[in-house]
Amino acid sequence: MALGRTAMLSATAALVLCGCGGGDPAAAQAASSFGAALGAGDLRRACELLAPATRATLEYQQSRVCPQAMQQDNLSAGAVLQVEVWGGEARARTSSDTWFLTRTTQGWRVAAAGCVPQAQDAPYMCKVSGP
Amino acid sequence: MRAFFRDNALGLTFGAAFLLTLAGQSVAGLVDFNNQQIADGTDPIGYLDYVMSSSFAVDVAENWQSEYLQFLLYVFGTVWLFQRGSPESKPLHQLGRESDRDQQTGRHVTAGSPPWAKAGGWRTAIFSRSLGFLMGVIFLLCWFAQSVAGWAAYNGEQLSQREDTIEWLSYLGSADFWNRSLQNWQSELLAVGSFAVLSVFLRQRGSPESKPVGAEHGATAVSG
Repeated sequence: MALGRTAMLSATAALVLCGCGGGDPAAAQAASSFGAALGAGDLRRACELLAPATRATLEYQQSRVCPQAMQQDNLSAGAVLQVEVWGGEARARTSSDTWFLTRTTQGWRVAAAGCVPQAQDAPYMCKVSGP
Repeated sequence: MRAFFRDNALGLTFGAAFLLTLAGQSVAGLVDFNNQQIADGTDPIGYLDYVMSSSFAVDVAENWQSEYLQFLLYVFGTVWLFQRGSPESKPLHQLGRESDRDQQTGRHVTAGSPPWAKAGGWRTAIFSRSLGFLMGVIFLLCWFAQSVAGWAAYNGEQLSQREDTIEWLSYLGSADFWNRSLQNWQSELLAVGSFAVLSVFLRQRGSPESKPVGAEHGATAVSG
């Protein structure tokens, strides 16, 4: 039936357009790379995986170059358990805390790390975060 | 070809204007979206990424659903509701679904009546409601699309603000969903209601949406 097909197409189009909640291999890969860099103590690599605005904020706030500032923050290198993507934003739950990622022109980068939930409906508290 | 354009000028003109304004919305929306991206310290996105985004989809769908809701309500409202002096209203004595004679159905079909009007039974019953039914279906589909795209856009914003995402059913009860819906509905209802009333007292010469210039203010169901 034409109407049934129209309904199906519209629903499919809506679901495609929403880009909802599914995994994105590239976001998961970026989260894994960030965790691996933290686990290996390779803070220079971890800094490369930060979103530019987050890195700039970190260096400005601590008046140090990124790797030294990251050392100060003592981020945990938890295993990535789940990555949820919504458009150009993603959240990675790890065995230790939560990271937020954003899609940049260079690919997925970590916008905030060392995040723990606060009260309901309140933003996460993050050790490292952009503007 | 000329005859085709002449015979379909209203539909073609509004169809072309629709495509132009949709294109304009996509460009203005992209610039606005990227201004916000830059303010948030994130990278701007390209045109194709934007027109495939939930942000653009929800902005389009929320307007489409309200337009079809407007026509759905108007189609049904004008069956039963009277507005004295309005060319949009039927005469008082014709309120309701009207007789077979008025509607050219049953024994009163003509040679040129559509096949499903002549058929009788369930086909005529469906055809008799097809305009309102289709408006209603399109409204529901667009509202559903708005809910899905709005949910995705909302969750993206939540993550950018380091907040948790929500389920679709929770989004249906959210302020964001109802603010988007109601702000469109109120404007459509204002436009329709004010048009029905203003057309009692004002005229647009030559428009079938208006009464003839010389018609009495109290003349109902007259158009020219």
